[in-house]
Order: sequence, then C-alpha cells, then structure tokens
Amino acid sequence: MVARREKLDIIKDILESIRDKGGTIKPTHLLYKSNLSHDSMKRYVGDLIQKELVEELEEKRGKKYTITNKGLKFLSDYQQIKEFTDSFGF
Amino acid sequence: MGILVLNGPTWFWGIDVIFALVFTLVTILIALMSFKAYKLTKEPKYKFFSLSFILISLSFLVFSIFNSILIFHLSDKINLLLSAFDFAFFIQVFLTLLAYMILIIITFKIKDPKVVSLLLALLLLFILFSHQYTLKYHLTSLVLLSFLSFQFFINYQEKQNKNSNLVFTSFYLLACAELFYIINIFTTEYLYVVGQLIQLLGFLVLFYMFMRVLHYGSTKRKA
Repeated sequence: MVARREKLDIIKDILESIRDKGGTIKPTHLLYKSNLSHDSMKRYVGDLIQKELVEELEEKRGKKYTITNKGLKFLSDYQQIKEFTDSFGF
Repeated sequence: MGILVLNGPTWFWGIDVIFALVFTLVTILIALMSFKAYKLTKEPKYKFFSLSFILISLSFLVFSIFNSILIFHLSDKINLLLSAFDFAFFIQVFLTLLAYMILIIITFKIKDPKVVSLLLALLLLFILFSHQYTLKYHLTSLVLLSFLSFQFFINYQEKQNKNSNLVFTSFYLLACAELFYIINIFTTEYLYVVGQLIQLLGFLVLFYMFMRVLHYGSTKRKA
C-alpha cells in the first residue's frame, strides 16, 4: 500500500513542480506533476495563493502559476521542518 | 504543607535552578521550531505541540523564579505564602502534567473530542483533588513519559534514523529521572541530584537533536 502523503509533502511537491519548471507552470502541467485530483489541486493552490507562496497569472494563453520568493523560502525551510516532524513521528 | 519546590541537599539548591533554566531554554527552542512548522502548514497538531513545550518551559521558569526567591530570600511575603500553601509547586504540577497530556494526545493521534475531554477532565480532577502532591506528580509524570517514550521508540523503529533515536533516548531519560525522583521521596535526598543529572542529560540530548535539525537545514540551503 502506498503511504498517504501528508499536507506538508503535497505543498512541497506542488512548489517543487513549479520551481523545476522555471518558476512558472500551467495548471494542466501542475495537475499532472502534483499527482492530485482536480479539486484537491484547486484547493491546495488556492491555499498557497492565500499564503502568498504562489501567484496566479492571467495571460493570453490562459492561467499560469508562479512561485513567489516566499514559496522558494518555504522549500528551503521544508527539509528542516520535515526532519524535525519526522523525529517525533508526525 | 512544607515548601515543595525546594528539593535535594542544600548544597544543590541553586544548581537545580541553573538546570531548570537550561530546560527552559531547550523547551523554548523546540516550541519555536514546532511553531515554525505550524506557520508553514497551519496544521493544528504543530500548534498544540508547540503549546505543550511552552507549558513545560513555563513550568521550569516558575520553578526557577520561586526557587531563587526562596534560596536568596528575595521576598519575605512570598516565603510566608509558600510556607502556607506551595502554589508554585501547584502551578508547576499543573503546567507539566497538562503539557505531557497534550503531548500524549498529539503523539497517539487521539482525535475523538470526547476522549480528549475525558483525559483532560481526569487530569484536572487529579490536580485539584490530590494529596501527597510530590509522589503523585512524579508517578503520573513517569507513566505519561513512559507512554511517550514507547511511542517514540516505535517511531524510531519505523524511521531508523538518528534524530528519532535521539528523541526516544531523550524521553526515555526524562522518564528515568522521574523514577529517581520517586525513589528519592522514600530514601536519600541525593537521588534527587541523580534525577536532576539524568533530566539534564535528557534535555541535552533533545538539544543535540534540535541542533542537528538546524544544521541539516542550513547545509541543505548552502547546497
């Protein structure tokens, strides 16, 4: 059985997907990369936009998501937090 | 009722205050790291984890403040008050046991609000209507810390990494310290010193784990 991803892991996966695509990604690519359902992805991205980790851009060709500096900092803090929470078994 | 915050041989009075300040510092650092996890994820368990360590930290701070007042005779009024009713120890018991109970609730992933309410109600009843405070306080702490150590041992077996081993070792040492505090009540007061040294070791192990996590983060950032 595949272990369920924690919220922290999902956030990290979404941000890493955007960063690895040069900082900007189309929603369809993000859906594929993040391995989430459409509804879940919308909910998570909405949450990340609210937390200012991601920005939504409206372009002629459609919507795109960009990782912010705060999002990049989150990724660098992520490993530290993951190490800490894993130590206690969260 | 005597003054319960003063323990062990007289030559050790003051040294345990320094120890308690070290415990305060370590628990604050753990609380801050957990709050950072909460800020990133907004997951309530990290907020409560942080809260439990703040409570432990406050408990040690209360111990340090009132012990210092007693040892250095800083206030006759407080000395008199503590001789009549040792409220400082009462606060310490309340904060510590509440913190351990919150840790149990989070670590054992108890989510049913009815079970959580029951555990907290039992704890409150114990604190409000208790005699032989010192014995019951250390016995309850021993039970709660043993359960936590067991859970952290299971986590270590699953993760098989050094940091989870350090967390388990730290809580195991804290539980052992409680055992010495209990035996100290019936035998020699020097066992209080042994208990304190084991508790110091337990918190230093936790601090070492914290430093490893910090260092891990910084090396990753540099990479």
